[in-house]
Amino acid sequence: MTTVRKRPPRPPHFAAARTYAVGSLIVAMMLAFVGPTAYGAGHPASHPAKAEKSGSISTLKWMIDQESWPTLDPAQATWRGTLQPVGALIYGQLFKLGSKNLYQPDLATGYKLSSDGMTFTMTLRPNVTFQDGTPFNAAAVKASLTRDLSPALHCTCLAILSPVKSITTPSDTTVQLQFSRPDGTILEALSGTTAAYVPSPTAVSKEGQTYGLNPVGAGPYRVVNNAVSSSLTLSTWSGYWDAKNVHVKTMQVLSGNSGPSEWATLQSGGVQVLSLPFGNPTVEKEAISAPGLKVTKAFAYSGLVYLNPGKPPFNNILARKAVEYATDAPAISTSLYYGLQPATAQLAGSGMVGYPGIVKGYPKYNLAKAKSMVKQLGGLSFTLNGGNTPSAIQESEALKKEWSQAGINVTINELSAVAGIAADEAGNYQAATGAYATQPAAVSALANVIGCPSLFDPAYCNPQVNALLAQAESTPNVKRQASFVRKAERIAMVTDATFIPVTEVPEITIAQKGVKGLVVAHTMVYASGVS
Amino acid sequence: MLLRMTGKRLLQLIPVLLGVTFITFAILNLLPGNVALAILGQNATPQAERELERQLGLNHPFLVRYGDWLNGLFHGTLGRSLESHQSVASILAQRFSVSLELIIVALLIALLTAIPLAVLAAKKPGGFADRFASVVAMVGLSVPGFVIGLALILLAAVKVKIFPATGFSPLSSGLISNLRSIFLPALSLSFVLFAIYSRMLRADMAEQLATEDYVVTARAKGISSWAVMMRHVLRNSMFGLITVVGLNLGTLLGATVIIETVFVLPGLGSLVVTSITDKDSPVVQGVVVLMAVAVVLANLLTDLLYAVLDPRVRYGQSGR
Repeated sequence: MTTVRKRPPRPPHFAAARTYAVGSLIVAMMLAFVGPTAYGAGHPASHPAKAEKSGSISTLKWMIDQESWPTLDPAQATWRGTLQPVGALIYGQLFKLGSKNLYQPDLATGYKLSSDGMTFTMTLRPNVTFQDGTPFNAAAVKASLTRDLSPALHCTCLAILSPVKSITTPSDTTVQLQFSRPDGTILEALSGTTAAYVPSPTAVSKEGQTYGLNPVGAGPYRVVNNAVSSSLTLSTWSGYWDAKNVHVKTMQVLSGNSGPSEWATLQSGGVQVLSLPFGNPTVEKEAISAPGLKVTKAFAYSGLVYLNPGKPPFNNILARKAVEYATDAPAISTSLYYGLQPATAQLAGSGMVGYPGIVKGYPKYNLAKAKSMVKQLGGLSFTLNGGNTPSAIQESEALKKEWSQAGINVTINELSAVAGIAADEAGNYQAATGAYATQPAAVSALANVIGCPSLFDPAYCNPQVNALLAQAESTPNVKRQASFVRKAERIAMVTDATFIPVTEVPEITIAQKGVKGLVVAHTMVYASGVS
Repeated sequence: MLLRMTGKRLLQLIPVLLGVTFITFAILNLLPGNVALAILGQNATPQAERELERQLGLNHPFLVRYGDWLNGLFHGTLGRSLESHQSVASILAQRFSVSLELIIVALLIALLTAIPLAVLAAKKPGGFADRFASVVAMVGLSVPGFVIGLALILLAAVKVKIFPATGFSPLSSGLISNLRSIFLPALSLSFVLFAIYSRMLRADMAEQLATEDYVVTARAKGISSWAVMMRHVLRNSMFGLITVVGLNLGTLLGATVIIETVFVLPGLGSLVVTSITDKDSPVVQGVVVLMAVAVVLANLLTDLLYAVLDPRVRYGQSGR
């Protein structure tokens, strides 16, 4: 008789244990997979969508990190939504910013500045119309600039246009600006700020307060659909004066979310261009090694630390100098940013018009000196107001660690951008990290940072710095501007030791190699001629 | 009785709306900065800020501003965005449809997978379906939604390129492209829902099969086990499921914030994040009103569904 041997019964908990073991393994694999490969770090070069042949793109999709356009009215554009580069697609611009500090004609064909710098005469392109058929002429430009100068509309261009005393129109294609003082930054205003964009006066009058939702310009593209701060669909129109040089029929601008999914969208071919106005070294590193992508960047600004000289402990210059000597910017550049955001001894970005160059005499990292200064002070502790985004927190923590090596104790306060500005205004800070809104030219950017009253560091005011910046703003010659700015910075950074640059932050544009005609000049991206 | 219940629920909406909007307004008021700073940013001189605050009415006391907003609400208007000047109602109309579609598709995916698996799992405890459902449920409960979302993007959009990684394609662009754009976000959202629904339903059904007299009676009468499951046990268990689905709606609306951010969807979730950051209070208040109404109506719908499933509720007797 054959005995059938039965398998012994499994313990009752076996099935449950097996289930949980398998489940745990799956969870662990997911976390391990998603973590490092979210950005493709350590992953073989990404496989972007096959680039289309030049000239064959009918729709270009362009994702811009954290792009926001609550309104497309240039006179009311908010600080976050400065309409760069979208504004140029809808409105064109009076002048274009070219490389090598040269300004190129666009809707304006030429200019003349009087010898005393008090009158600026601009010649407009003839026979141009807005998208609604309204003539683009001197009256329209005057109306636009008058709106820009209205305090009620709080244009982000108000400060740079402040020297404009009056506007006249000697002819249908001539606009003259008279200044209250010599103005060396007017071309910057008419090319790189919202003052460069001229809306149709008919549309403005008709739409009133809601004009910004349905803008009408004289640029290459008109708005077809506007999902505010989410997606903007643009299409060409036949009346554009330079229609023969516009090759892409439809452009869709999408707002990105500053996360791994933006990069994934480019890799999967969901968009052809990805712009990162605030930089992203992880994505940049991956994109550089990706075979089908081209990376262009312009160093638009510097991340910096500013100290409050009106409040302890930084009302003592020794404390300020101690922090300067304790800051190892090259180490931060290497450890956090793979060297892609280089350390700098300059508050302006090297991609700006009139970049003044490195400030000579700016103290280099010297831990021994920093320690000695802290010892002389009997110790140094303060609160650092930093941003609340992951990259801002990372940088604040890195600075804290560096400073701790010199015996400096730091508490970090993580604040949103709005909360940070509120704290600055109230003088409620000892030290803060920050970066200023991008301006095309160094002189305007730094006037906001180190000029008095400084929008960044309201407690800082040095009349010598102000005088030098005023001279820079009055000088049309870009090289002379840079020279004045450099002197002003030397006082603010070296003599007064109030501003500490850390790294230069690039504005990055990554495009599939098949996308031709994208122009990056200084900090401006022009896409009207892409194909 | 049903009409009375519906009327009572709709009346309850008033104190709920008053409460949530007041609390939201108060919290927003406590946050540092204001929308004038968000608009002016680093160009915010004290004078410019004061002038803009005056223009936007932000210089009035907190209660006056809340009262003005409430007055507008009683007159049927939600006001205008302080940043874009667009009417809040039109902003919500644009965004609500996206979030609604996301939630509906996520619920459908969760229910269409959870119910059959729960039935199979309850029918054969410890079997393959039971263990498979347990594993997926554990993943759904332990892995955050945004991690699931990123994993799906990498697998299904970057590696295999079946679905778009981000963005939303409206219905006007075509049904297929609309469904493709919503599928991955909805799937990410549905994982945790599947976990809750499948485990709850499975446990309830298994308990009924083991302990309820009517099951024994039905089997004794010769009714097949599948018929017992589908016609009797599942129907009884649906009460619990409906309650959980209804209660879940509030959580789902909150979960859309993260999923919409990961997948760059132009819905209510992403809208509320930017509006809170910029302290655009009319928009935040509008979203809060909409969500409060949605939650109350969902609870009402849940109760009405009880009446459909249970005649005892319909005729006014005590329910299960």
